[in-house]
Amino acid sequence: MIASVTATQRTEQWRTETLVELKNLSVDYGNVRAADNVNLSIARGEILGLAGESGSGKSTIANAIMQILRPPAHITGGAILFDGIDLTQKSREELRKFRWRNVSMVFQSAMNALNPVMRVGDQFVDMMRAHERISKRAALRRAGELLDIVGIDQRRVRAYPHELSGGMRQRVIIAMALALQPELVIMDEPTTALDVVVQREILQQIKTLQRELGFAVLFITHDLSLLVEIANRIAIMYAGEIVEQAPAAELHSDPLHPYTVGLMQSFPPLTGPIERMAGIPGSPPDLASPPAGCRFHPRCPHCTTDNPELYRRQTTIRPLLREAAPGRLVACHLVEDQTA
Amino acid sequence: MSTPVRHSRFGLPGWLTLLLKNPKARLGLGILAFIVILALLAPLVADKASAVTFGNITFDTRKPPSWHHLFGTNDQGTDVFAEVVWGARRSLPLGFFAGLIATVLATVFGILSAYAGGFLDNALSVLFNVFFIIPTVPLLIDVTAFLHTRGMLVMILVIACTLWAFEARILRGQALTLKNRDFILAAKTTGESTWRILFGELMPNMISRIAAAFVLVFHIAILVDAGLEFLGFGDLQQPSWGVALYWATVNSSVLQGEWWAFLFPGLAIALTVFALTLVLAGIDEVSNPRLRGLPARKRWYRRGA
Amino acid sequence: MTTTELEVEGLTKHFPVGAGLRSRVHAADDVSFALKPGTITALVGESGSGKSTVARLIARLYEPTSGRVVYDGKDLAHTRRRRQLLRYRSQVQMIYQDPFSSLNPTKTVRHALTRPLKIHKLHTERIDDRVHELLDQVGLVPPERFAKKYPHELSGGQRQRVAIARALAVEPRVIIADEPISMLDVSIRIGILNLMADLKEQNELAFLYVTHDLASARYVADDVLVMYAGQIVEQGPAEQVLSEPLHPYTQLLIASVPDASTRERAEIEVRKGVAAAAVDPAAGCRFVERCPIAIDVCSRITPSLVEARPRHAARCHVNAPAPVLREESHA
Repeated sequence: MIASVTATQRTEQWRTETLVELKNLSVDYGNVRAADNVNLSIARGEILGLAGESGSGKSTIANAIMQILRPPAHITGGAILFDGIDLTQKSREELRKFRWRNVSMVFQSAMNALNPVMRVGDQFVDMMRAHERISKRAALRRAGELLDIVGIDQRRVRAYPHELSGGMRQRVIIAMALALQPELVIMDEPTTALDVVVQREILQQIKTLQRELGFAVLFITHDLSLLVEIANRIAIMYAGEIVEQAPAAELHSDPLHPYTVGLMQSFPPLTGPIERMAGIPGSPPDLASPPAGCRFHPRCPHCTTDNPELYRRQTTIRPLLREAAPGRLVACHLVEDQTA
Repeated sequence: MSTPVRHSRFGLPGWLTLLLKNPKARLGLGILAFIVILALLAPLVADKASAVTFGNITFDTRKPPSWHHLFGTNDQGTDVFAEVVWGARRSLPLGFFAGLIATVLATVFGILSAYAGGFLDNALSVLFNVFFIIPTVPLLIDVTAFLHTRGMLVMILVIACTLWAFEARILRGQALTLKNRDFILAAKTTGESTWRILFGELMPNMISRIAAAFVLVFHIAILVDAGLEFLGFGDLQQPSWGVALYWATVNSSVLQGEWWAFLFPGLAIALTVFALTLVLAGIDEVSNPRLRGLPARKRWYRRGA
Repeated sequence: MTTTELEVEGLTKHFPVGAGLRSRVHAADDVSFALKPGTITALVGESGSGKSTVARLIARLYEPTSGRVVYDGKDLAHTRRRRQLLRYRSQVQMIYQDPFSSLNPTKTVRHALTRPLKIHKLHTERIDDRVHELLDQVGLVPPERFAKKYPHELSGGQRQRVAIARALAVEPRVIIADEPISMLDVSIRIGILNLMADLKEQNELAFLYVTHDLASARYVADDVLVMYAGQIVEQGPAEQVLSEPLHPYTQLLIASVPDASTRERAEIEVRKGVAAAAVDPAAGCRFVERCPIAIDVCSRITPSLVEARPRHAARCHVNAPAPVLREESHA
């Protein structure tokens, strides 16, 4: 059985320790800036939610942390610190060891990434033996234990991927991600392709596992309501920048950035009164030529000529991520003015 | 290989504009244009009669290139330059019409087969396979022998009839992937007639593959025709590249070191085929979804309002 | 609203599958409901539940194995006559899920909107004006600019608006929307839903909104139909069905949907089973394997849709028992 340190002990002690820190990270695709000056930190054992729509740069950040960016994507500035060490300075060999052992990743359609002609157990064995010296028998046994942890019958180790349902395959992927007991698991839209009931099951599973094993999670999704339920802290990305960061409950009850407010207004509630919602007019900007100043300003209801001085700043100066209240970071001129 | 869309001020179909911008296609089309012009100017630059001499031994034989005979003469006294220039007037139309007929047949039957599905599809597929198996060259030899003719028309028809099936299968494959796309279903629910759906909505999305089919058959037709003539099955009364090569071999120009007799006709064939290959490569590059040269925003920006 | 625009009765579609094509997958079984003008009816279900099949059957993209599709008093389920079918298509239109493939990439927006007008011979004198009117109606302004564009120049939301305009062009009475927002960015979904609600009001249309998203169904729909494994398992007014669900599957769905207002929620119990259509299903309730309240009769007799409350029906022996239990050999 994989040793499971008492979770609560781990999490309480480690919650304040920073595991990953992105400092002024910028990533370009060719000459389009996909992530711009991103500052983000993930503490040990915490679930950090990263929300944003398409083109926000959230997947780019995930790939950057895993160091799997492919040309024409490349890091053009900043550092990625894992446990204090800058990943951008590591050699290829070191990165190879680093991947999966320290950080692992679950992709969106990962269930389709399983090799269809190999049994599930064999794929585990392949993966484990690529990272450590372990006999085939021991690896298979570990595979069984891992399947058990994610709620799949151990005997399914001998199954082929097509014999499992979509939800089960996704669980296999999650089990694989946990195989080497990484400290951070990045999940990029892990449940988006699944039906809502299966999604609920997987989320429950993830929550349980995280509590028991104490790993940190970077949970990336466009579904903000999901994050409010599962994450400790949430960061909102728009057009390659982080526009707001806050503890989940506070973000939900008191969103500060107009984009966050708009996003909240895009998820109709399942209970309570049914009122007409506004969504957000317009569309995410073309990153090849983003708007000047605040990137959200063309769609922002608070960007009007009523206040000419503010308007000038909104349309010419990029707002910086500042602490508007303890633990609450916002990049917005209006909020800056209000908290000053 | 779906048809990419861009549009120019002149209202040219989008993909054509893109194709014209592609360097390989440009070069290929340029060479072809040059050869076409040369062929059109043939009566002005060379005497047809001097391309074919029969029987008369003149003292102009086996002459190397000179100002009088740009490409020299062969052992028969035939002016090689005239052979090349007049020969183009056979190869180009032959390739063009064979390509045209084969492509039309392939497109119509390929699309019909894919869209109809079921029994008609199965029946047509059998038809494709039957025609596909027929080997072009042996059939050509047989037919020309049987009909006692070596004219262009027969060549065109036989080549078209043996090559269309190969393309039909490919086009059917592409049509199959397109037929269940939502815009085709939408055309149905709008009430569009089947005919218009097939040729008004479906086919425009296959234009680049159809163009590729055309160029390919053009290319093969030229080679097959020249090949047959080289073997002696050509019409020795008419100027053509293959026949020129035939004479060059038969009369041992090679052994005599008279390189001009086979080099120039051979180069003409090679250049034409090369140009066609370039155009084909250009079409390929332009149709490939991984379009390089498109602004990064196109690949990057997937959704929005 | 007592008049009915379109009614389906006992709509059934079986596809042959398996070795030798001897088995049948029951994509839709005995589906019956009515669409009324000026209402949005949501057809909710997970993947494979049969909702898209039902949508396509109504749109006459294929024919049902059995059952009727009644419009204007006539059953059009099996008609092949071009004129009848054309008339039907001028009244019943469809919007598709994928904005990236529902418009022909080689044709302009103008072409997409002109074709329906020309086919049904509408506004022939002033086609361009009508095209601009339609673009106005769906919020694509200035219409002159949008009419000239090709699909790849538009964003997903804009394409979907063009698709809606195309559906409106023939001035239909019924519009079937097959997951129209699931492939759009989150912040634009509401815009499309609002557009649908506005059009419903302005034009007194009957919408069938097919979706897997309960929350959006609640936001925009008047009535809700819940599908599971090819059958309708619950139907009724949206608010009622979602606040007081009768069928255990509906309850499971509601418990699974992420809702930001609940941080700690009761865990759902994980049981084997999928919502997808069954192959050669046996008699009995199809949800029985996953049902927490199943009783003996549930695995033997297929429950029928029973109205347990006014206008609110469910297919469940326990929560919506039939007044008199009849022995049936199969569903």
